[in-house]
Amino acid sequence: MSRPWLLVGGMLVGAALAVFYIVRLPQTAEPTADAVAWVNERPISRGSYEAALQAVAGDRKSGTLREDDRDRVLQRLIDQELLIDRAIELGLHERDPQMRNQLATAMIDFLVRRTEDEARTADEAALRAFYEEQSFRFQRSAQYRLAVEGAAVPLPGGFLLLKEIEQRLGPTASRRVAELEVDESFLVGEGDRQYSVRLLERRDGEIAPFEEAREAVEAAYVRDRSEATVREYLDLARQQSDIRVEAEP
Amino acid sequence: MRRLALQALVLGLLIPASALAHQKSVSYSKWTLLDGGAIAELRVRWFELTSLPAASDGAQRPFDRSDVLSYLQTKLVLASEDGVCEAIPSSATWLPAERGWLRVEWRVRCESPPTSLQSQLFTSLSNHVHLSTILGPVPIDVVLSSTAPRASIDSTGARAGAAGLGSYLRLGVEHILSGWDHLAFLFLLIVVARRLREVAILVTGFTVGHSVTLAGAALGFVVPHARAVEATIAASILLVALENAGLERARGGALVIFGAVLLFAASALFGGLPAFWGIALFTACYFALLRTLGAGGRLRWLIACLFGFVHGLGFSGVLLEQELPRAQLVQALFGFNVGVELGQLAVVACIWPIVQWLRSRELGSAIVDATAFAGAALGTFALVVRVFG
Repeated sequence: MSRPWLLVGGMLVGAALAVFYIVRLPQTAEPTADAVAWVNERPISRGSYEAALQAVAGDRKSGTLREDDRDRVLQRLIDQELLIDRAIELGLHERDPQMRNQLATAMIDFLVRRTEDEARTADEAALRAFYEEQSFRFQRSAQYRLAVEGAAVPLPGGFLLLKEIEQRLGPTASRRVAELEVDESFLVGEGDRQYSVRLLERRDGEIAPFEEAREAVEAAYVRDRSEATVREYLDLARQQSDIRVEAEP
Repeated sequence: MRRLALQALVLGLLIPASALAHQKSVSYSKWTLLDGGAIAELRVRWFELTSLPAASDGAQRPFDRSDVLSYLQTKLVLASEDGVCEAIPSSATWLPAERGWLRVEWRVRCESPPTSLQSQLFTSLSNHVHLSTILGPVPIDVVLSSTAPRASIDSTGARAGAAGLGSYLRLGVEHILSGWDHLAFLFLLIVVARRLREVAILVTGFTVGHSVTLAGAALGFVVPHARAVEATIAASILLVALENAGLERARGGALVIFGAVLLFAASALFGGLPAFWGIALFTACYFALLRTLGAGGRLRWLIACLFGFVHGLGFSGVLLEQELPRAQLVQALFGFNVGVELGQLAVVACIWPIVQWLRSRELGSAIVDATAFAGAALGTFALVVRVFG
């Protein structure tokens, strides 16, 4: 190739590179095939329309829609879009504290929901690893068998959790039971109403086997992952944002 | 000549970067006419507010929003036959706005249907233009300036179209006449032309270029990157000035061209404008090609057309800011573009005879050298301000 043509090629490449960065094509809205209406070029999806119709039908005693319900629901959704448009234009999301709280909550819900969906599909190995690492969280509570002497206090003959003892004998007695050795006793109440509580037997708390605790393990795994995701997002956002604290907390 | 051009580059780099950072002063409003009044929505740059007396009294106090609102409500008014429509103070709402702008909305009460809109905003800024869209039975656009501060509102809409077109035609003329960067580029293009035919080719190339992109951007086919466009316009002035100086064939001229290419590369690298990698490559290849072909000026029509595309994107900014409905946009675009062409022709008609007269006095090369020096300084300065300012 001759030198002039090479230079013309260079000019073309340079011009194309410049054009690429100077202009861009406008972003077109994603085609929404199932839109039931458009408000200021924003679609109202058939899904949200059907959900609104179902809600109206659910409110009816007959469970069915009336003749004019479809149009009324659609008009209400259009009104809702118009109100949202105006709220955004007025910047309510920036200055209305209630709306800001709702937005923050909705954002957390969004992050949590997405993480939950991922976490629910976690494989067996991940769950078992989590169980091994966090096994203390799946420890069963200690149980106690007691005898009451000197009063007719109704107490079941079997083993009881500390919480159940607290419900029947009160918080002070529950705390004392936890400290007792087998065959030891302590007095409860005063005067004629005094009686003695004796510890007959105790089963110390133990870690539940994985198979038995599986449901609790799954729930704890999902909860932990969700919390971690929210935290990770906030840590990243803090790194990427310009945050200045002007006043002493 | 080489030393002169190098000095121009350095001069452009040294001029304090504040004086020309802001060129055009424009504010926008939208009036929605209702029974018994209207809702006004105004957008104005905070920068313009610094021209107000309160800001320049030396007190250096921060702007008080209530003062600003009071100023805006008294200087931009809707009037009916029964007098000026009264602004309802409690109706004012500050709306979210992009950085550097304020946006406020308020209601006005009119005793009878409004008949005119009057602006006395920023009268100390001689080039301030206020663009307004009035949404009545028939939407109309008006352009208010210090020379035409009042526009009639024809509530029947009978003359709305013509009024809108005329407003935009005037805006187009004002825009090119107040746009020193467009004028500088145009002047540098034609100052070396020897025949009227050459001028016609260059002006046509520039017109075709800027008309295409003005329409494309205003109609939403492409979205310009405003900062890159403004910086590239400055680069176009520098490039044409260097070509006018004949640096590609001058001894040591390669050094100056290399300096300009380096400046473009620095704009890409440190100014965050990747478009300048392309402009640097284009410039290097363009001057090398001129040297290879051995005849500067042969490709000027191409430069006029190519950079005309970029200037057209710059012209579109003023229309895009107004967010006109599509039906009005076509009319506004037509009027604005015709106005730009008329203004451009007027400038050429004034400049060309003067250039010819100077040439007849054996001053042709002096004026080319002097304007090349000035253009290189101006282009470099504007580029630095727009990229790094």
